[in-house]
Parts: sequence; structure tokens; C-alpha cells
Amino acid sequence: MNNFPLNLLTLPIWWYTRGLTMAWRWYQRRTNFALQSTGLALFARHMWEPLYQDYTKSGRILSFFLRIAVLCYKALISGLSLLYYGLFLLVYVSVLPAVLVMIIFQILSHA
Amino acid sequence: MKAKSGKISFVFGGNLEPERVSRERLKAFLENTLLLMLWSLLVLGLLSLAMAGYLGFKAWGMPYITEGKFLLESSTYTFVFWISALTDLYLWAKYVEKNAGTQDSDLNGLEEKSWQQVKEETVDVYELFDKPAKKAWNNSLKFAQKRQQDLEKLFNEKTGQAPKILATDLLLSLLENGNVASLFYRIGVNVKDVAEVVKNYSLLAGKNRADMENFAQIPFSALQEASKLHNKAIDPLMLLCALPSCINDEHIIQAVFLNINLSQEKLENIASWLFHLKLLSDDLKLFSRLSKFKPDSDINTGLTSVPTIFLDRYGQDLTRLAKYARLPVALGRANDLKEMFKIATAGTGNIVVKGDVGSGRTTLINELAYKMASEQVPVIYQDKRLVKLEISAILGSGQKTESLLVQTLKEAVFSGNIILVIEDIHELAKAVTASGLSLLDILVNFLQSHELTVIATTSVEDYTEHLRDAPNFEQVFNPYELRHLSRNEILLAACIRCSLLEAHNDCLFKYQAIEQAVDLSDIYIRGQNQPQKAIAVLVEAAARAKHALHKIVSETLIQEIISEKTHIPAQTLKEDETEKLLHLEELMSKRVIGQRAAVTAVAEGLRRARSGLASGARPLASFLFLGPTGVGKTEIARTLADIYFGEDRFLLRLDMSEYHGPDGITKLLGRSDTDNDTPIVRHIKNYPFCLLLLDEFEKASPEITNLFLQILEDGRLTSGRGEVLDLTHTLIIATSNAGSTDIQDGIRQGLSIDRIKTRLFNQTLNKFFPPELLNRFDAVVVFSPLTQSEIEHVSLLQLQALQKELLQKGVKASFTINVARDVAENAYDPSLGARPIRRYIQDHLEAFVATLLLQKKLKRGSIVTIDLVDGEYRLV
Repeated sequence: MNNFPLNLLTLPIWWYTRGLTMAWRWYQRRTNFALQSTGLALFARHMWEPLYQDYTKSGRILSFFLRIAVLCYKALISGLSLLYYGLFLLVYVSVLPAVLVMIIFQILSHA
Repeated sequence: MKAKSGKISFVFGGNLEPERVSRERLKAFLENTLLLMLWSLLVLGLLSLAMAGYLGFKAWGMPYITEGKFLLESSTYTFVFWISALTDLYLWAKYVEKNAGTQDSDLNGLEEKSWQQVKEETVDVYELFDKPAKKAWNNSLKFAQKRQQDLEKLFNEKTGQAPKILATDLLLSLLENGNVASLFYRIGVNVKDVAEVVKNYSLLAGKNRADMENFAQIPFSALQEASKLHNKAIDPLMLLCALPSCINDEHIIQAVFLNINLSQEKLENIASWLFHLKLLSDDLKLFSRLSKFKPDSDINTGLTSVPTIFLDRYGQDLTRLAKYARLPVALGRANDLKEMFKIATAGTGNIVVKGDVGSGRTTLINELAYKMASEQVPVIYQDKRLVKLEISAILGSGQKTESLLVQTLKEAVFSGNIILVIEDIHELAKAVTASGLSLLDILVNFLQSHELTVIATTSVEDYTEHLRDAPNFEQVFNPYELRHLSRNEILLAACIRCSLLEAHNDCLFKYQAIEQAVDLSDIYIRGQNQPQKAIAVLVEAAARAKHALHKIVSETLIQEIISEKTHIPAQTLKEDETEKLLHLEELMSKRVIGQRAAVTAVAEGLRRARSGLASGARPLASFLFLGPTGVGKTEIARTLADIYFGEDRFLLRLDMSEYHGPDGITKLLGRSDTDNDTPIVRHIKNYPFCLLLLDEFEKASPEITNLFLQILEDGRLTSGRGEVLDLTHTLIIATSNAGSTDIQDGIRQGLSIDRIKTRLFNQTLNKFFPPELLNRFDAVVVFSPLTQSEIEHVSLLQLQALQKELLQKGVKASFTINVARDVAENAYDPSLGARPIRRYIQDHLEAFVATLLLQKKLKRGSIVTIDLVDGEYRLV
């Protein structure tokens, strides 16, 4: 259905409109998938529940701290995933101007 | 061409003018060439970069590489590299643009993406064609041009105009597509043969004119076909499905499709099958990605649950089985699953699924297991295990079932991540504990005070009988009745299953075989539900085909399997059966003397039924034979059973005088409190295709006569135990002596049989049978008393029986005509008919022969003639 006339001249326009939208969706999918794999949201939902149904006072206290630790760990992994995929997004945003700048630089250098 | 749908306008930009097609082909060629050049530039760029790096390394060593200076250095190689980088980005953008829309959604499995949800107001339907569809569409021009050339050669004149594209041109183009070819392959048709026929006949102006079709409508019809399947693109199969609706009935394509028995419905069903196979494959790929994260153990992701020792012993973890694809692949109950989710999220969460065995209850549970394993479920079901409680294990454990059940339930509650499945929950109602409560009561009481989600299954009948009135059951459980699948849905489920069977058994299913399995099992296999009974037949067929030479499951194999299961000749008429039916009168006349009208009525009725013209909702055929005793009424039925069915076991004779009293109906149908079936119930269950002979029908009780009103009208009978029996494949012959005196009087007065029959209907029969019962018989046949020559003929037949007995002892005996006449004169009694003939032969002739045998005057090898001389029998 999309009739965007993609060619070398219209590439920059496509890159920062339709292409960027696709890249953003890709980023969302990847990060959601990463979050699902760590189970961060699921784990956070059970934050105030004791581990392994241990409702004793000591169990609750232990659970709380352990959950904080596990949550931090999961958040760290999730954060790293967000950063990792975010880097790709950053590369996407910056690669086209970088290439164009390098080409101009090469032309000017040769001139 | 434009069409409107709501706020969206559909246009079609794929006109088949040679200029546009050539332009598109040129564009495609240029694009491909450009892509090839750019790929070459990519390789060149990488080589340039490598060269720049190498030269720099040689000149300045490793820091030149590690500090990235080789990328910034002004050199030809670096310049080439950066140019190629730009073109690489363009290549990548082209690739992404091409594949846009085919990306799967990892997390929004429940969201329905209708391709009609478009932002633009105008949609070019041509852009919805996938690449093969565009190719097939554009290639139809080539076939049109070829057709025009052939016509010009034929009539030796040039039109000078561009050819008009016809539906036949498109069909020929579509036949070159692999998926279309595989569709035809499924119905056992070679596309080359179809193409040959279409090519040859496409020159016939009478069958292939532009005014016989609406070619411009085809893309829009294809769009509709695609939308029915929620197909995101229009592929060649959709174009093929669109053809029949855009041509009129006289069109050559209609004739071709009719000839190969390819209806619109069949076309759409096969296309749907191929489409859903692809969907299934995509779903499985997504599932395998998402299910990786489902925990393997009893502990959930949230670490809130605990191990469940009892539940593991008396339950089966369905999510774990699904995770490792150990459950049968489930398809067909997605809509029911969505409804269940709605109920679960709205109400108490406990659901009882009502559906008969084999209708898809287990499929629904398995689909839920797969969804839970990949977490494609609402939040209330996420991070949980679906565990099936094995009731039989609890009941057979030898321990106190009440405490065992409670302990298991408590463990499930405590774990916090269990959704319990109880199949056939009505069984709990039957298990009564020592305390007097049933296990169902205990379960319901437990659920009222604890938070546990239970999904139960039962049949509709058992729900009404055991569950609906159980205390508090409906407060705790939300009922949900499984939707009955339509024929096409059952076909699709069967088709998908066949694809799996093909992989497992290395065989191939013809589509017609799958259709036959569904249709014939629907008609002939009673007591089971669809799609289970169709699938059972297909599984058996696959197992047989695996070991066969050709490994193809055809309609014949399916018919054989169903025939074996039901003892019904389900197949289209075999040669010997056809011969029998066509010459039935001749064959029967060898044993039944006279009574031409009755023989003809029976033969015609059976021919009508077996040719498929008879209504499927009534017995195969039903006759009422009226006449004096001993004239051949019962003999016709016996003869028919012998000739047509070939075996005695298909005939059931009931003497209706035994069902005369007030308990007659109970005696006939059985009682609800006993497991024993009555003869008629047992016979119909075992041999649905049979002959039922009801002698002395007028002597049955009035309740039984009324019962036959229903049987003759609907072809069904309900036994005392409530089982509905199918009599639509039963031949019913009722005999009666009612009106015999009137018949004999009429014969004496020289009246014709038709007049006698009219008199009987108007004056006599009403005393014995209600008029509505008489009208329900396919034919009421009046038997006339036997004439003298017929009696002699009967005597001869009986003597032939004695001859056969003597032949078994090695004695070849013949009887003179005097003997036959003597028997006929002395044995026949007008009031008893031909019945006494047998007794006379026994008392006189057999006694004579027995004496000779004992005197050794007759021994093995003797050839004798027996004559009657002076009133005594003699050997001649």
C-alpha cells in the first residue's frame, strides 16, 4: 500500500520518515521481547508477594530484600538490552549523515 | 475500475494494456539490474576498505587500523568505500521497504490486524497483489496475444488491435503458478490437462466471449476472497477463487470446473487449507520463540509458587507438554478461546465447557495450553501452569478420595500459579464419598471459599443430568457451550490434521478423500461427533496408505474404511451391486412365484434408494404387504435379504404379535433401567444397513403403530435408554393379513388388483391402521392368492429343495410332473396358502425317501426318478 518513491535522491527523506518509524517499531519489538525474556514486568507485578508463599515475618523480610536484588538484576539486564538496541537506533539515526559527511569530505579532500 | 467499501475507495491500477505491462517489466528489469550493480558496489566497497586498511597498515602499522584512521584518510579506496556505503544504505532501505508488513508481532498475538484498517482513503488493489499474483496477472496478456495470433492464423486475417484479455487467459497464466498447481494436484487433476482443454476451447467464440464475463471485477472479487481468510495479500489462489464468480454459467471455465468436479466451495476450502497451513507454520515459529522463556519447573517467573507434589502425582502439566510440543497441534477453536477469555476476565473465572465428546473440548484445552506456554493470554492467565487433574488417578488411588481431592486442591491454591483443568467433571458427581457428599459437592464448596481457577469440560447431556441442578454449581462455574463447527470448519480442521498425518506417514491425501471422510462419517457413523469421527477415519486411512504401494489416500480407501466400520456399502455402486439392482426382479422371480407387483415395487424402491435419489431423512424404503397367508409375503423379504445383502445376519424378522400387549413398546424398545438391548435396538446398532421384516404387523399394539409413524417419517428410533438410532439405511417390510377376506372375495368377483386395493383402503384397512401410517409407506402392495399353476411352481421349488438335500447325500433324484401336481392338489389350502406344501412334502415324500435310504435302495451315486403311480410313490 505504501507508494513512497524510494530512490537514491529521496533516500534521506525516506530514512527519517518511514524508515525511522520502522526502525522505532523494530526497537520497540526487540526491547519488548528482551523485557519479556527477563520477565521484569511479571516479576515486578509480584513485588510485594513473598517468595515461595512464605508468609512468615522473616520470610516476608527476606523476600523483600531478595526481590529487590533480583529486580535490580533484571532491571540491569533489561536496561542493558534497551541500551544495546538503542545503540542500533542511534547508529541508524546517525549513519546516513555520517556517510554523507564522509563523502563530502572525501570529495573536498580530492579537490 | 473503482469500488467502494464504507469510507475506503478501492481502485485497480493493474490494467493489462501492453504499454503498462511492458513498463512494469522494464521497471522490474531495471530495478533488478540496479540491485545487481549495487550489490557489486557493496563488494567493491568492502574490497576497497580492505585495501585501504592494508595499505595504511603497511605504511603506519596497527594504530592506523585501531584508531580508525583508514576510514578518514583521503584516498581513492576510502572514497569508493564511502560511496558504496551510501549505496549499501539504499540497498538496505529497499530491502526493508519490500519486506515491510511481513514482520510478525511478538507480543500482540491477540490483536486482530485487519488489512482493511488502512489510513489512506483510496486503496490500489493491484498493490495488494503479492509478487506471484502480479506476475500471473501480467502474464495473462501473453496468453491473450497468443490466442489472438492463433485466431488470426485460423481466419487468415489480422485484427490490428490489441487483444482483449479474457478470463481464460488469466486462468492459463494462473495454471503456471506452483500453488495453483498444488491445488489441482490435491483434487487429482493435472494442470497440463486443464491448460490443454482451456487452450483448445478458448478459441470457441460461443463459449468464451467477453460478454460472458466481468473481467474487471476479478481483482475486487479476489480482494473479497482474501478478506474472508484475513489474508494480508492477494495471492494467485485468491485470483483463482475469484474466477467463477466473475463468469456466467455457460462460460468454458465453468464447464471445465464442473467436469473436474471443482465447485466454488471446494476451491475456497482448498485455498483456505493451503493458507492456514502457512499460518500454522508461522504460528509455530512464533510459539517456539516465545515459549523458550516459560519456566520448566513448578516455580513461576515471579517466584511466588511452590512445588506441588500431590498435583504432580495426580495431575498432568499441560503447559510443560505444550512447551515441548508434546500436545497434539490444536487448531480450530481460536474463537471459542477468545470467548472463554472474555468470560474468565469478567466473571468468577471458573468455566465449564459444554460440548459432546469429539467436538473439540480437548482441542480447546490444548490450544489454551499452547497459548499459556507462550504467554499469549490475558494477564489473569499469565505466568501460570495449566494442570489437568486426573480424576481416575484420584479415584483409583486406594486412599480416601475426599481428603486426597481436598489436599490436591489446597496445594493448587497454595502454589498460586495453577489453573486446574477437570475433564468430564460430571464424573465427580457420580463419586459419592462415605460422608454422603459427592466429590463434585466437595469441589464446589471448596471453590466457594478459595481462590482457584478451574476449567472443566462435560457433555451437554451430562451437564443437564448431573451438574445443572447440583447445589451452588452454577454460582461457581460459568457455563460455555462449544460452538458447533460448520461443515467447512470441520473440513478445515480435518485438512490441517491430514497435513500432519502426511508428514508422519509419508502419504498424500486427495482433497476428495478428506471430503468423503467428513461427509460419510457424518452420515453413517453414529454416536460420535465431528470432527473426531472424520479424523479417526483419516488417521486409519493414513496408517493403511503408509504401507500401500502408491501411498495416496483416495475416496475409495475412505469408503472401504467406513464400510468396514458400519457394515454399510457406503461406496458408490460396485459393478456386481449394479448388476444385482438392475436385474433384481429376474433374480427374485427365481424364488418368489407370481406376485410381480410386489417384486417390482421392492426392486424399484431399492434402486431408487441406492442411486441416491431417495430422501436421506426417511428409511431406505418401506413397504406394506397385504394378502392372505402363505402367498409369499415373507418369502419376498427373505429372498431379498439373500440376494441383495448376501447374508442372513442383515435380516431381522420380528413377529409383531409378540408386541401386542400394553408392555409391547417396552418389549420392543427396552427399558431405561437396564443395559440389555432389545433385538431391534441391537440389530440396528450393529447393522444400520439392513432389512427389517415385521410380520403380522396388524397385531402390534397401537403404541407401536404410532411409533412407526415417526420411524417412517424421520428414519429414527429412540430406544428405552434414550439412544437415538438411525434407520435411514434400513429397508422396512411390514406384512399383514388384514383384509385377506376382502382380497379373496375381490379375486373371486374378478376385480383387478388396483380395484381391490382401492376397496381395501376405503373400507377395510382403516380398522387396522391409521390412514397417516398407510400414507407413510413407500408402497402398499396387495398379494393375490396363488393360481393353480403358481402353486405347482411353488411345489416344484420345494421339490428342488428336497433334490438339493438328496444331492448332499450323493443321490441325484428328479421328480415327475405328476408328483408336483399331486403336491399342489393335496397340499394347498386356500386358507393357509402355500405353507402346507412344505409339511406335505415332509410327511409324504421325505418319509418315502427316508425309507428307501434305510433299505439301501438309495445310496451314494444313485440316479433315480420318483413318480406317482396309482396314488403311490415309486422309483422309476
